Amino acid sequence: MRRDFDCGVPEISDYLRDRGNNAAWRNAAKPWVAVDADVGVIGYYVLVASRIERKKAPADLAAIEPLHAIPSTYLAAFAIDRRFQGRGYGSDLLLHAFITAANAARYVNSYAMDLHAFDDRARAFHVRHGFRPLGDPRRPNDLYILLQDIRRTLEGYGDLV
Amino acid sequence: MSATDPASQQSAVSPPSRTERINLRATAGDAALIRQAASAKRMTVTEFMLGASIEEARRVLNEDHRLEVLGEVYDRLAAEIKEPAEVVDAMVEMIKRPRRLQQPVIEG
Repeated sequence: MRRDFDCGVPEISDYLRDRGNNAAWRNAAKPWVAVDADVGVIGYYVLVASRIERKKAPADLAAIEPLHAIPSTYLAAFAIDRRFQGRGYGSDLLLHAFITAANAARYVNSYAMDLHAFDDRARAFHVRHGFRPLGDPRRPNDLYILLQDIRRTLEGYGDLV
Repeated sequence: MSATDPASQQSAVSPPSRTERINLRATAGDAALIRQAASAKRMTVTEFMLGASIEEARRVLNEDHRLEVLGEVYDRLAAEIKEPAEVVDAMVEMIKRPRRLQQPVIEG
Protein backbone atom coordinates (compact mmCIF):
# COMPACT_ATOMS: atom_id res chain seq x y z
CA MET A 1 0.00 0.00 0.00
CA ARG A 2 2.96 2.23 0.65
CA ARG A 3 4.07 1.71 -2.95
CA ASP A 4 0.78 3.18 -4.13
CA PHE A 5 1.32 6.49 -2.41
CA ASP A 6 1.35 9.31 -4.96
CA CYS A 7 1.16 12.98 -4.01
CA GLY A 8 1.87 14.11 -7.58
CA VAL A 9 5.55 14.87 -6.97
CA PRO A 10 7.72 11.77 -7.55
CA GLU A 11 10.61 12.93 -5.32
CA ILE A 12 8.28 13.32 -2.37
CA SER A 13 6.17 10.24 -3.10
CA ASP A 14 9.30 8.08 -3.32
CA TYR A 15 10.56 9.20 0.06
CA LEU A 16 8.35 6.86 2.05
CA ARG A 17 9.36 3.82 0.01
CA ASP A 18 13.03 4.70 -0.28
CA ARG A 19 13.61 5.35 3.38
CA GLY A 20 12.48 1.82 4.12
CA ASN A 21 15.50 0.55 2.20
CA ASN A 22 18.07 2.88 3.67
CA ALA A 23 19.46 2.53 7.17
CA ALA A 24 20.81 6.07 7.28
CA TRP A 25 17.40 7.47 6.45
CA ARG A 26 15.71 5.26 8.97
CA ASN A 27 17.88 6.78 11.65
CA ALA A 28 17.71 10.31 10.32
CA ALA A 29 14.04 11.19 10.54
CA LYS A 30 10.80 9.52 11.49
CA PRO A 31 7.78 10.30 9.36
CA TRP A 32 4.34 10.76 10.85
CA VAL A 33 2.06 8.73 8.59
CA ALA A 34 -1.72 8.96 8.29
CA VAL A 35 -3.20 5.71 7.04
CA ASP A 36 -6.62 4.70 5.78
CA ALA A 37 -7.22 1.02 6.52
CA ASP A 38 -8.72 0.39 3.09
CA VAL A 39 -6.83 2.70 0.79
CA GLY A 40 -3.37 2.99 2.32
CA VAL A 41 -1.27 6.04 3.06
CA ILE A 42 -3.28 9.27 3.04
CA GLY A 43 -0.32 11.49 3.78
CA TYR A 44 2.84 11.94 5.79
CA TYR A 45 5.16 14.54 7.13
CA VAL A 46 8.65 14.73 8.60
CA LEU A 47 9.94 17.20 11.18
CA VAL A 48 13.65 17.79 11.61
CA ALA A 49 15.50 19.84 14.21
CA SER A 50 17.14 22.67 12.33
CA ARG A 51 18.55 26.13 12.74
CA ILE A 52 18.24 29.35 10.84
CA GLU A 53 21.61 30.99 10.35
CA ARG A 54 22.76 34.34 9.14
CA LYS A 55 24.32 33.96 5.70
CA LYS A 56 27.95 35.00 5.54
CA ALA A 57 29.33 37.04 2.69
CA PRO A 58 31.78 34.97 0.58
CA ALA A 59 34.69 37.05 1.94
CA ASP A 60 33.74 36.04 5.51
CA LEU A 61 33.60 32.30 4.83
CA ALA A 62 36.86 31.57 6.59
CA ALA A 63 36.32 34.12 9.36
CA ILE A 64 35.69 32.80 12.85
CA GLU A 65 32.82 34.67 14.40
CA PRO A 66 30.20 33.92 17.01
CA LEU A 67 27.53 31.61 15.66
CA HIS A 68 24.25 33.35 15.05
CA ALA A 69 21.55 30.74 14.88
CA ILE A 70 17.88 30.48 15.73
CA PRO A 71 16.81 26.92 16.56
CA SER A 72 13.92 25.90 14.35
CA THR A 73 11.79 22.92 13.37
CA TYR A 74 12.04 22.11 9.68
CA LEU A 75 9.06 20.58 7.92
CA ALA A 76 11.27 18.45 5.68
CA ALA A 77 8.40 16.75 3.88
CA PHE A 78 4.65 17.15 3.76
CA ALA A 79 2.49 15.27 1.28
CA ILE A 80 -1.08 14.12 0.74
CA ASP A 81 -1.98 11.35 -1.69
CA ARG A 82 -3.68 12.61 -4.85
CA ARG A 83 -6.84 10.68 -4.06
CA PHE A 84 -7.24 12.69 -0.84
CA GLN A 85 -6.13 16.12 -2.02
CA GLY A 86 -8.53 19.06 -1.82
CA ARG A 87 -10.70 17.49 0.88
CA GLY A 88 -9.28 18.92 4.07
CA TYR A 89 -6.89 16.11 4.94
CA GLY A 90 -3.86 18.34 4.39
CA SER A 91 -5.25 20.88 6.81
CA ASP A 92 -5.76 18.21 9.48
CA LEU A 93 -2.29 16.76 8.92
CA LEU A 94 -0.67 20.19 9.11
CA LEU A 95 -2.50 20.90 12.37
CA HIS A 96 -1.04 17.67 13.70
CA ALA A 97 2.41 18.86 12.63
CA PHE A 98 1.87 22.17 14.45
CA ILE A 99 0.87 20.35 17.64
CA THR A 100 3.81 17.95 17.35
CA ALA A 101 6.23 20.85 16.86
CA ALA A 102 4.75 22.72 19.83
CA ASN A 103 5.06 19.64 22.04
CA ALA A 104 8.63 18.93 20.90
CA ALA A 105 9.65 22.54 21.58
CA ARG A 106 8.78 22.05 25.25
CA TYR A 107 11.81 19.78 25.51
CA VAL A 108 14.07 20.92 22.68
CA ASN A 109 13.93 24.64 22.06
CA SER A 110 12.63 25.92 18.75
CA TYR A 111 11.44 29.36 17.74
CA ALA A 112 10.01 28.73 14.31
CA MET A 113 8.74 26.07 11.97
CA ASP A 114 10.16 26.53 8.49
CA LEU A 115 9.78 24.81 5.15
CA HIS A 116 10.74 25.02 1.50
CA ALA A 117 7.65 24.72 -0.68
CA PHE A 118 8.28 22.41 -3.64
CA ASP A 119 6.11 24.41 -6.04
CA ASP A 120 3.57 27.26 -6.21
CA ARG A 121 0.72 24.98 -5.27
CA ALA A 122 2.44 23.82 -2.10
CA ARG A 123 3.42 27.39 -1.34
CA ALA A 124 -0.19 28.58 -1.68
CA PHE A 125 -1.38 25.74 0.59
CA HIS A 126 1.04 26.64 3.36
CA VAL A 127 0.44 30.40 3.09
CA ARG A 128 -3.30 29.70 3.38
CA HIS A 129 -2.54 27.81 6.58
CA GLY A 130 -0.60 30.51 8.38
CA PHE A 131 2.94 30.38 6.98
CA ARG A 132 4.67 33.56 5.84
CA PRO A 133 7.58 34.10 3.45
CA LEU A 134 10.90 34.40 5.26
CA GLY A 135 11.54 37.39 3.05
CA ASP A 136 14.53 36.57 0.85
CA PRO A 137 13.35 37.76 -2.60
CA ARG A 138 15.46 35.08 -4.29
CA ARG A 139 13.91 32.31 -2.19
CA PRO A 140 10.19 33.03 -2.22
CA ASN A 141 9.30 29.43 -1.34
CA ASP A 142 11.06 29.51 2.03
CA LEU A 143 8.23 29.96 4.53
CA TYR A 144 7.95 30.05 8.30
CA ILE A 145 5.57 30.36 11.22
CA LEU A 146 6.61 31.27 14.76
CA LEU A 147 6.36 28.53 17.39
CA GLN A 148 5.22 31.08 19.96
CA ASP A 149 2.23 31.92 17.72
CA ILE A 150 1.40 28.23 17.31
CA ARG A 151 1.56 27.80 21.11
CA ARG A 152 -0.52 30.92 21.70
CA THR A 153 -3.19 29.69 19.26
CA LEU A 154 -3.29 26.25 20.88
CA GLU A 155 -3.68 27.78 24.36
CA GLY A 156 -7.42 28.02 24.00
CA TYR A 157 -7.67 24.37 23.01
CA GLY A 158 -5.93 22.47 25.77
CA ASP A 159 -7.34 19.11 24.77
CA LEU A 160 -5.39 19.20 21.51
CA VAL A 161 -1.93 19.37 23.03
CA MET B 1 57.72 16.80 13.08
CA SER B 2 57.45 16.82 16.89
CA ALA B 3 54.22 17.01 18.83
CA THR B 4 55.09 20.48 20.04
CA ASP B 5 55.61 21.77 16.53
CA PRO B 6 52.87 24.41 15.93
CA ALA B 7 52.35 23.05 12.45
CA SER B 8 51.51 19.57 13.75
CA GLN B 9 49.16 21.04 16.34
CA GLN B 10 47.50 22.84 13.51
CA SER B 11 46.98 19.59 11.67
CA ALA B 12 45.36 18.04 14.74
CA VAL B 13 42.35 20.30 14.29
CA SER B 14 42.22 20.51 10.50
CA PRO B 15 39.56 18.55 8.62
CA PRO B 16 40.32 15.04 7.32
CA SER B 17 42.28 15.07 4.07
CA ARG B 18 40.57 14.29 0.78
CA THR B 19 41.71 10.79 -0.08
CA GLU B 20 38.73 9.62 -2.14
CA ARG B 21 38.44 10.27 -5.85
CA ILE B 22 35.08 10.96 -7.51
CA ASN B 23 35.06 10.87 -11.30
CA LEU B 24 32.23 12.30 -13.31
CA ARG B 25 31.48 13.41 -16.85
CA ALA B 26 29.63 16.57 -17.77
CA THR B 27 28.48 18.31 -20.92
CA ALA B 28 30.73 21.15 -22.06
CA GLY B 29 27.96 23.58 -21.16
CA ASP B 30 27.48 22.25 -17.62
CA ALA B 31 31.24 22.18 -17.01
CA ALA B 32 31.57 25.78 -18.18
CA LEU B 33 28.66 26.84 -16.01
CA ILE B 34 30.20 25.19 -12.94
CA ARG B 35 33.63 26.75 -13.62
CA GLN B 36 32.04 30.16 -14.00
CA ALA B 37 30.03 29.84 -10.79
CA ALA B 38 33.04 28.55 -8.85
CA SER B 39 35.09 31.46 -10.13
CA ALA B 40 32.36 33.91 -9.13
CA LYS B 41 32.51 32.55 -5.57
CA ARG B 42 36.33 32.56 -5.67
CA MET B 43 36.40 28.83 -5.09
CA THR B 44 38.15 26.03 -6.94
CA VAL B 45 35.89 23.79 -8.99
CA THR B 46 36.50 21.01 -6.46
CA GLU B 47 35.56 23.21 -3.52
CA PHE B 48 32.49 24.47 -5.31
CA MET B 49 31.22 21.07 -6.41
CA LEU B 50 31.95 19.39 -3.10
CA GLY B 51 30.35 22.21 -1.14
CA ALA B 52 27.17 22.18 -3.23
CA SER B 53 26.78 18.42 -3.32
CA ILE B 54 27.52 17.92 0.38
CA GLU B 55 24.90 20.50 1.22
CA GLU B 56 22.41 18.70 -1.01
CA ALA B 57 23.37 15.30 0.40
CA ARG B 58 22.78 16.52 3.95
CA ARG B 59 19.50 18.04 2.91
CA VAL B 60 18.37 14.79 1.32
CA LEU B 61 19.35 12.76 4.35
CA ASN B 62 17.83 15.33 6.70
CA GLU B 63 21.04 15.44 8.63
CA ASP B 64 22.42 18.54 10.20
CA HIS B 65 19.71 20.66 8.67
CA ARG B 66 20.11 24.38 8.63
CA LEU B 67 18.85 27.28 6.60
CA GLU B 68 21.05 30.24 5.77
CA VAL B 69 19.18 33.49 5.39
CA LEU B 70 20.12 37.05 4.49
CA GLY B 71 21.26 39.24 7.38
CA GLU B 72 18.13 41.37 7.17
CA VAL B 73 15.87 38.31 7.25
CA TYR B 74 17.75 36.95 10.26
CA ASP B 75 17.52 40.25 12.12
CA ARG B 76 13.79 40.55 11.48
CA LEU B 77 13.21 37.01 12.72
CA ALA B 78 15.36 37.58 15.81
CA ALA B 79 13.28 40.69 16.59
CA GLU B 80 9.95 38.92 15.96
CA ILE B 81 10.60 36.19 18.51
CA LYS B 82 10.96 38.85 21.19
CA GLU B 83 7.53 40.29 20.36
CA PRO B 84 4.38 39.07 22.12
CA ALA B 85 2.89 35.93 20.56
CA GLU B 86 -0.09 36.30 18.26
CA VAL B 87 -3.02 34.02 17.50
CA VAL B 88 -2.84 32.58 13.97
CA ASP B 89 -6.31 32.99 12.45
CA ALA B 90 -5.74 30.31 9.79
CA MET B 91 -4.84 27.87 12.55
CA VAL B 92 -7.99 28.65 14.52
CA GLU B 93 -10.00 27.67 11.44
CA MET B 94 -8.02 24.44 11.18
CA ILE B 95 -8.79 23.65 14.82
CA LYS B 96 -12.49 24.48 14.63
CA ARG B 97 -13.40 22.52 11.51
CA PRO B 98 -14.43 18.90 11.89
CA ARG B 99 -11.46 16.57 11.71
CA ARG B 100 -11.32 14.17 8.76
CA LEU B 101 -7.99 12.57 9.44
CA GLN B 102 -7.45 9.76 11.88
CA GLN B 103 -4.54 10.28 14.26
CA PRO B 104 -1.28 9.85 12.31
CA VAL B 105 1.28 7.46 13.77
CA ILE B 106 5.02 7.89 13.88
CA GLU B 107 6.90 5.29 11.92
CA GLY B 108 9.67 3.45 13.73
